[in-house]
Amino acid sequence: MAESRHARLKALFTEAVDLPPGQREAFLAESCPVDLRDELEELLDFETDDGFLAPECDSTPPPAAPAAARLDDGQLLGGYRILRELGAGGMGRVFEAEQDRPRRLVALKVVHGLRTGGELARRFEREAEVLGRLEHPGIARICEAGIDEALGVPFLAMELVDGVPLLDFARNHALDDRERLDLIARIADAVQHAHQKGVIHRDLKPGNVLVARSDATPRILDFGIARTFGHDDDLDTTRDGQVLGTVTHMSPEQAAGRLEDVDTRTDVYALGVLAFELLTDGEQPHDTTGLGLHAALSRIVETPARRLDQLVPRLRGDVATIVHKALQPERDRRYQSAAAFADDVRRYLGAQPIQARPATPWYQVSRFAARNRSLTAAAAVAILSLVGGTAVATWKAIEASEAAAQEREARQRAERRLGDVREFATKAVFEIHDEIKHLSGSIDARRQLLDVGHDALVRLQAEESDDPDLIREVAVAWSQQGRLRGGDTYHLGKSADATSCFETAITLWQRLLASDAAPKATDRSKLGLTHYRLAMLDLDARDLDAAEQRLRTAIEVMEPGLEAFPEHMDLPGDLGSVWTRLGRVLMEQERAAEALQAIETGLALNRESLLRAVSDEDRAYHLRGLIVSHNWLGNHHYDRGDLEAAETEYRQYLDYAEQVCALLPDDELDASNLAIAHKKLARVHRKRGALDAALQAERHALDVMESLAAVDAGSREPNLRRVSQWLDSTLSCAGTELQLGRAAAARETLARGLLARQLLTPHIADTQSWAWSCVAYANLAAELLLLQDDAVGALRELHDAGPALRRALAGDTPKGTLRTAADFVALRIVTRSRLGQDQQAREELPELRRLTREILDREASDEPRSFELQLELLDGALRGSSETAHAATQAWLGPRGDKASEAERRVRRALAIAESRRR
Amino acid sequence: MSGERPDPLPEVYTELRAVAAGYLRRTPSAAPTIQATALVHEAWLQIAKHDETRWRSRTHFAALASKVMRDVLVDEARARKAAKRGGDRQRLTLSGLSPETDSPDVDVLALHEALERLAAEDPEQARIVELRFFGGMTGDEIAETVGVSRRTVVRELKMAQAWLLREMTRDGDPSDG
Repeated sequence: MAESRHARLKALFTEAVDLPPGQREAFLAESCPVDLRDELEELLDFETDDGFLAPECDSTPPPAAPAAARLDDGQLLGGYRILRELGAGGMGRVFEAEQDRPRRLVALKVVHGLRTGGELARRFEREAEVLGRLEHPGIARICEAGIDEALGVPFLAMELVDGVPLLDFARNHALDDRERLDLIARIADAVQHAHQKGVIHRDLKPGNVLVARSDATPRILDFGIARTFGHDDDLDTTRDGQVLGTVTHMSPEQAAGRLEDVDTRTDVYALGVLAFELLTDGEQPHDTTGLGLHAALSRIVETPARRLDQLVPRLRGDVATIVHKALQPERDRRYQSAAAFADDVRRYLGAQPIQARPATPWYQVSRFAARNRSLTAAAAVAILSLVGGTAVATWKAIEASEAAAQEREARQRAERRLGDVREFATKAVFEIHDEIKHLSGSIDARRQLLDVGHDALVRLQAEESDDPDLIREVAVAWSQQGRLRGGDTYHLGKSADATSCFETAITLWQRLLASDAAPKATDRSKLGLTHYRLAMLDLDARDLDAAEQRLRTAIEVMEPGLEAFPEHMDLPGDLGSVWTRLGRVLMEQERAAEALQAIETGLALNRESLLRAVSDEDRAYHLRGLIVSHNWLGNHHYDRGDLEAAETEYRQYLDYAEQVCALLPDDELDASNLAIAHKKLARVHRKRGALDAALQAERHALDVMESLAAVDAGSREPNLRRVSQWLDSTLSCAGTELQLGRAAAARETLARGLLARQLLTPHIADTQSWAWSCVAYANLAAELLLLQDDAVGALRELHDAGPALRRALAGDTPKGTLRTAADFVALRIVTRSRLGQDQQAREELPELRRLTREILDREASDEPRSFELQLELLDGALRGSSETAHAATQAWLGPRGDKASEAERRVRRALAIAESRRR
Repeated sequence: MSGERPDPLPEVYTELRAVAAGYLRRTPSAAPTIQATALVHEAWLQIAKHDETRWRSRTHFAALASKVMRDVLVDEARARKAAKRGGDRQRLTLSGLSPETDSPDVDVLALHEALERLAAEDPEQARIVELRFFGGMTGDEIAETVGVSRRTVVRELKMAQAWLLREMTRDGDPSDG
């Protein structure tokens, strides 16, 4: 196959492009086929070295290098005579050169491949002028920046420093830590000077700092040069080795490519790296040995710096603190200026307390956990053991420092560290816990975390401090420990551990209340609540007597607070919860009178706190507490058959639910509370036989449920739980309407709920109760169709719900559901009988018989009796001809319960008529 | 081994798009110059840290990212074009080199269109351009990804650049046509 035109062009282009411009014409004339010549010529016109596709990471010398490569010893460049080459790097070459006037030696930097002219030249000159303003003994001066017109090469003449690279100097002179720190402070001074002149170095590293042989002054080279030559941010322009050399000194913002974040604090970070290297004799904060470029960058961005004091233990304390403050990944947490860094170094050298606070490990860990929501529990464990280690190490440091307590500095340091332990044990542990508690499999990590916090708390307590705030904080932390170990949603199920934590907290609260320090209302409240939590643990262990005792103790503690602090907002509510809980415990002990009294007391307190609440949120919180209590009381009375009392409680419940909804109209939970109140009232009415009132309440519930579900019913993933509540309300409503003989209304209600059923039907495999709802819907629909003599439609309705029934019967059959199944089968029998399919109808009778038997076995109320009767009637009707089918319908669909005898009479009459006709 | 892992393209595509779109949003509209290297780098840091094992290498990732970046940038450019139609047309430009060098700004849409034509002539060359320009990959990385020598990459890019510049110049400004 012939080569394509493009391929031929490519071959010619590649050949031509390497030729010097002068020879291209000849090449075109001699070697290029005529048909391609014009196009090739055109392409060559567009050829350029540094266009938008110029490849980076060029491991061959850039094409424009010859300009610099031609520089030889003795040559003149921009008025300087080149003496010898000092070195070459990715960016260019450095020569020692001589200037005539004034007569001096300079370092002459010539940059590779930089084209001159236009905007670039102007910028170059502008930058050079700025650099020229830097006048500091710690900065190698820029003598001149210019462009050699003849050669077309930009150059930079700098003060020639006769010095030794920083690390070599330190090694050669065997400097001790203090001498090294002194050097660092002086380097920071120079950096600060440049920052004041508006120049950022961006590429500060030991190789860029020489220590002058003459006066042992450190001098920074190449200040601002990276930027001037536009190469600072372009990692890939230099060769790999050099890239890595630079990368290891990069700040996280540079490594992450967030160039807009580079500012003077980037140099502060670099000073931190410099200090780290100088103090460890060449180690770097991030070990990037053997990593590729991008892995190295990621490591700088992703991981915290190695601890200086782990590499050099004697630097633990202030020195490590200072260096690591400079090395903070977030700029805002570093020293905000080079001067601040220098100051702290000098404070340390002058034995003054430093400004920096150690970056607490918990801060880093909680940040880490916050960033990594997908963190695995295993990783969390690893990190937490790290934290644990650090906390213990910190503690040991405190003990050591205590021994030397005469020294004020040591004392201050000890206090600072005590503060850290305190913060860790009383706050950080719980913050981290909250961050990780949702992670699957985090139980081990959480337990370890709590154990670390536990140890720290024990040690804090050993302080024997009289500081009431400290005692308070520690007590709160103990309670918290207890809750997380055994008394909270995410608890670890260690109730024995929890008990001892709560008891420790109680001891502390008691100490606090006994002391002179004015006790706060919250102290009483918290002590009481700690007793309350212990009571909850007793309840878990089914020890009702112990729970009662604890709750009474809690009340004793809290009650005096009510009078002492009449304005306190939380106390009545907290105490109210305790009374309510006591009421339930008493109820379980079957001490109903006492129980009701306790609950009433709780309710009164809840109402009191409702009055004291200032914000809507608080009000809603207390209202919800009242709702729970009234609901509970209502259920209690209902179960005992006291419908009057039940109605009163439910009405109160409804009233509060309406109030909450008015306060927070958008809260879904409150709205469904409202619907539940209506349903409970409907239940009371129904029990009384007041079907009209029941229907009204059910309609209210349905309206709420429907509007709740409507919020996202049209979305791709509607909230199915809400949809199922909507469907259930629809079914109760339509059922009541049917019972009241309002078939048209029932039909309308069912039609309104059709969407709910359609939304739920695809998901019946997930949840059994949804399957039951779908069966119940089909029953109602079929019954309504039969009333319209649409047996075909009814059969279709039942047939469609077949899978739902199979699913529903596949699991447990909670109370009432078997009735739904029996209704379903009976309706199918009746429908078939209406359609003249008597044989098939009769075949289903055994199934109905089986279900009826099961219902009778399981439910010992009156209703099954009439149920059985209905079965007999149905059976009898089916024995007759199809003319008795209507009677059969009547037998199943007629009123049940009290009205069953009426139905029986009618069915028997129908049967008799059918019998006589047959004769 | 490699057969077990499904191609991560579909699931990560959305993620990448989000990163790129976020990057574009943060880029001040006054200076809509984006550096592809930094963009892909950021995307890499954001995505690869979730699941490093999902990626054979950064180059594998960048090759994918370059496709996404192209989509995103072209979409963005189209949107801007639509928004600016009638007024002074603001070009979304992208400089493959550092923004501070003198390299010419490139009209992303024009480049995209020219690149489609190049793909018809020489798919591999077009792919190399995509990796370089939209993926911000270095010559070495492209060489590794495509499986050719670095020298070849350099040659291809040089030719492609001249070819594309010529194409874009020839077209003038299609949006005003």
